[in-house]
Amino acid sequence: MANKLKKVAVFAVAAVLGATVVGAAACADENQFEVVPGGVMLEGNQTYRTYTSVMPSNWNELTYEDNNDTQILNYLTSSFYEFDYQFEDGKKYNADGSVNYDGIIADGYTVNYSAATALEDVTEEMAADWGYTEKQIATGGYAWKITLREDLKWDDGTPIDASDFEYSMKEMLNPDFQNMRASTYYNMIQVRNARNYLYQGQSGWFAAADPYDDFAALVAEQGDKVFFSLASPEENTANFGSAVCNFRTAFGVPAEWTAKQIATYLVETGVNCKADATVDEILALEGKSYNQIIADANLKKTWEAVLATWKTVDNEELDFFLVDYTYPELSYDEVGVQAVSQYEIVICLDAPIQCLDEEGNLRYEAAYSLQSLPLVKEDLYEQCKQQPATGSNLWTTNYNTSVETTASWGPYKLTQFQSGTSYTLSRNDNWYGYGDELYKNQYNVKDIYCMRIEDVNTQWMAFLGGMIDSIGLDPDHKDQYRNSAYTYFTPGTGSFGINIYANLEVLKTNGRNNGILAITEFREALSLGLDRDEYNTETSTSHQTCLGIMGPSYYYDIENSATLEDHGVYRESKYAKEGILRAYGYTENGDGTWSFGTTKYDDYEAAYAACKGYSPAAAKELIEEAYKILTENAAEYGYDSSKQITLLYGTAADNANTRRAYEYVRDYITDLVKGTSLEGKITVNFDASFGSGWADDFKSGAYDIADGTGFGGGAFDPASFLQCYLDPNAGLMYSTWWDTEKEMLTYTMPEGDYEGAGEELTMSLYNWYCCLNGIAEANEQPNLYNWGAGFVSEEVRLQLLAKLEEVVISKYYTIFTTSQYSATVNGAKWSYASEDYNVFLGYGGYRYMILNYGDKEFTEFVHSQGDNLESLYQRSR
Amino acid sequence: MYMFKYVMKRIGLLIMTFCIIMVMCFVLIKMLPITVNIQMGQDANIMYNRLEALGYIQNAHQLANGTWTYDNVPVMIQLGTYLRRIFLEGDFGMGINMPEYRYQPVLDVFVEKLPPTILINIYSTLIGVPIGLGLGILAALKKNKWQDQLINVVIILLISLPSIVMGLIIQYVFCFSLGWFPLIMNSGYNYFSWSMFRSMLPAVFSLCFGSIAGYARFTRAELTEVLTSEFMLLARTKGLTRGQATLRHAMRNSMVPIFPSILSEFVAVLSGSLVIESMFSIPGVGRLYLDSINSLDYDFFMLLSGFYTLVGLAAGIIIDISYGFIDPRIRMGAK
Repeated sequence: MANKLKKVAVFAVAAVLGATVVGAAACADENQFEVVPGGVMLEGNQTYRTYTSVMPSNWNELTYEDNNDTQILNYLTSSFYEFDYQFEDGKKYNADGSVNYDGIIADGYTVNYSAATALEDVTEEMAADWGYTEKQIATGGYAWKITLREDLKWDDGTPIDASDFEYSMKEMLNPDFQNMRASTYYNMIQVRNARNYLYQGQSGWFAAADPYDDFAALVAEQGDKVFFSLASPEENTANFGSAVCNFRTAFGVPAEWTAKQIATYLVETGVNCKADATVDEILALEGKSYNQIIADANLKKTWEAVLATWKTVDNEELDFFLVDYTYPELSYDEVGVQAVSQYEIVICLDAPIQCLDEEGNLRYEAAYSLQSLPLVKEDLYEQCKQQPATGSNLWTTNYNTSVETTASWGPYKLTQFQSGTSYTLSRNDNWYGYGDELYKNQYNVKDIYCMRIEDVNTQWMAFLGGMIDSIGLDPDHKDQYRNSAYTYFTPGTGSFGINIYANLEVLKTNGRNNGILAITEFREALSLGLDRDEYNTETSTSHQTCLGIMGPSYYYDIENSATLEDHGVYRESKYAKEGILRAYGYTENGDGTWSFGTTKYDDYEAAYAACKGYSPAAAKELIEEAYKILTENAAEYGYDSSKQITLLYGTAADNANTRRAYEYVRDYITDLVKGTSLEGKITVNFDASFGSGWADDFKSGAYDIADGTGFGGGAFDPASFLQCYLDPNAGLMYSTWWDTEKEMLTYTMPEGDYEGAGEELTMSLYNWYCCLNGIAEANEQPNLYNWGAGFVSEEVRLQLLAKLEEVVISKYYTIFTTSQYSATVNGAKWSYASEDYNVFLGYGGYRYMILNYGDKEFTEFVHSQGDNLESLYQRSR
Repeated sequence: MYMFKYVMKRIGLLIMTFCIIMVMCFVLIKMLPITVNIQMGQDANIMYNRLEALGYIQNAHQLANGTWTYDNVPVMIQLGTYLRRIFLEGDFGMGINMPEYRYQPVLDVFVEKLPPTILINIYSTLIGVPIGLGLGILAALKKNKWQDQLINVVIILLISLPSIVMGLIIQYVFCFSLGWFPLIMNSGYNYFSWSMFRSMLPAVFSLCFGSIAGYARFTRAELTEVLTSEFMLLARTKGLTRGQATLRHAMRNSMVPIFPSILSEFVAVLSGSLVIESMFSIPGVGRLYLDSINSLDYDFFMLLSGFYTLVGLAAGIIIDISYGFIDPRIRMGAK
């Protein structure tokens, strides 16, 4: 019996092995491409096959979190207004109805109605209901009425009307869900009461200045419940939920300072003046309500002494108090997105946008800022809502996370999805566009089949074997494919730099003896001592040198790009170039010539062409100056000459890339101080322990050099991009110690016909930023000029933008180094509509792709090339 | 009876050990600081509100330097909540942070991703064990002859090559150049179709070549030792042929350490191979565990910790019991 069993076992194993080998051999001649795409040959003959390293998981417009999710989401939605190519003589179609690809104007674009049929500025009509002032009515752009097409449908044929958009916005702002994307409607476009609706019911201890702006009103309302506090979060844990007063935030007090330390500072140093009180007297105010303070003569006197050290404008009393505040309940009727009829939506804003030109034509802003509103399918969305789990009170939803829970109103619909493996998007025959003249003979891609291929080598084998239709160019293949006829380069909006920690209060106490970082001359030396071209070559693959906040992808005037000499590109503009020159130490002579040191340039163009931001000699002089300042003010900078100055280079991870970048920075700083008084006195150390918390750690001063950090996005709105460096409330600034609400700038606005024209104005940097973006009123700034897009000429905005960029660069808190660039190799199966990159349409996308081979023809073509397209794809143009 | 008692005792210890490990895992993962990265246009308040609403943190607020701070909800309270959720509601939670699994029930994801990993490892074991043992036996029987030398060279070669290199060679030669196999595993859930099996083979070969070398080396060493034992001489002297003596006595004795190693390797590979799964796009659990720690996806981490801990502990018991079946002289729990 045992022998029989053994024989059976041996036979079974032999059978498995045999079957494996025979099976493999038998299939050796089979066409691998019929099997490879997930074992699925799609029915259509016009499939675009692509790949992703990370599969999307949540393509819900209300909650999506990153670009992985948008790879599906982008094709399930539509736009009210859409960009299109501009064609020569306006001739989009040939006589046979095909698209006139040859007539595409490379830099041109048009803005067209798509899901909407009309757009009207209804600020005046809405003024009574929404409280717009006469001035706001005159300005316009606060309220917009969008008229929808009447044939909008979901992919299952269910009609869509205005009430669906109202429902979706209500769900977007539903406080129970705390949806990730809700902030778009109060941070990006400022929908009336969007934030208040989302925040309703939130309660807790706040700095009084957060929810209130009028101290008298606060005191009248709840004088017994507003408490004085200078204490730290730890000290306030028990009584005030760790909340701290706004004085700490506004003045930049180190987080660990106690109330006693602040009181001592106010008595011994003060802000405007020293406090006329003792430390104990100030501490006696701690935890007292405002009414208690006012009722007691001694406390009142101390309070007035404290206030005198700080207050320069009205309502700064708020900065010393904490309040237990609950955001009041709000009816959705007060939120600025309402359906006013079956096919009409009105959007009411706090900050205006100008979507129409003087003739009533759509401006690019319509397709850029007011492109669409979130839309979910009501019945499906309600079914997908998930009650909070035990121990949680957060509602969630699995809407748009699988085929069953997905609804589309865009050109494609999701027809297959397997987590971690693949998905398929197929034509949505219920999309209005397929019957519209605007989209005639477009969207040749019938199906988009996406596989998850994580490994770069596998991606390349798949591409060269004809299994996928395009691939991103990576460093290992850069040299082979850079000049290929199939390679397309795309400038990105990402701009990166090296952030330097410069908060003296923290530097003095960090034990690294590096208070020198707070000296502007030293940081400027670090900037001028960096050879950015070499740095980018050594530390990246295709990125380019960038001397400013923004790279070459930013447009200050996209609407007039075709007629402007600089094509509306911010980086190419005269003012941006001059700002860069000034920031990097060039001086303008009265006769239009420019100088750097002893070198003279005929004009700003010549100077800009020579400006690389690299001048080792000037940098070494600045090092000497900085060292002099440091040694003469050693106590102020906490400098101990007997100790080494240590700069800590921090990163999230320890790998070849971070090591390479660190070594470059270490070596250039070492070279920079050679031959100066600092030679041998500076050490740059590496610390890769910061993990995912690297950004907060840098902001807290845990390390001093954060390399390769930056931001991207907003290519047509460079003024808004300044928020990354000037808006302390956006939570993006790395230089958190820089109080842009206090630092003042005096600047004379250019002449023109607008409010403030030709005036020399002094206001805080933040206030300038708000005015430039037309959000000064919404952010309750002292100066309320509206110089937002469409309200003053772009030339005026450009000049102010360039000035603010110059100010940011000149602080040297960030040494700007790099702008993003990427490349794609597009296979032979599909061609792009245009060889020229268009800022709005890229190379035409799926909409304009041209089919060269059907699915089966391409398989045969690949076979004819020996199943390896390497030599074909390496052919240069 | 003593065996039954022994097994019961081991199961009791298993439960206790499991509970201790799980509590430790829960406490340790909760000790890691939560990081929130704010992108342009996002509202930090929403991010922290979500974490508060999920019951992970409390008292979140912005500090003077612009960063946020918060207090952790006491770990034991969170543990109590978690246990209530598991035992009273059967709710293992939902993915929160991992980009590929947000808003997806962790149990569903795990159950969906386990079959490819298990299948690949079963195929790998089915192919690897007989070949590995066969080569080991042949090498032991032909010790120091040319067959043994050749097998040793192959073993050294296979052991020296990391699976990433082996995988790359297999993929380039057999999938890309010769086109014998698909480059990546097929989509779909029809795991027992021929097409799916064929698409798994490159990954299976990449995994099993290393195992083959390991088994062969181990078997050769054990068998060589047993073959020189005195009881083998006795077996031959009592009239058994060389084959009979080898099969009935030498093999059985050498299996005592080999069989547990096969079992433990199978258990170990249940956690998936990060490199091989990435290379052949296997939708398995390979990187799920690591990613759940990096992303602080607590529910995923706890489910995976629980599963692997349980499998590991259960395998320990099975391996111990298996000794008794392979070698009757070994009696677990007997006094």
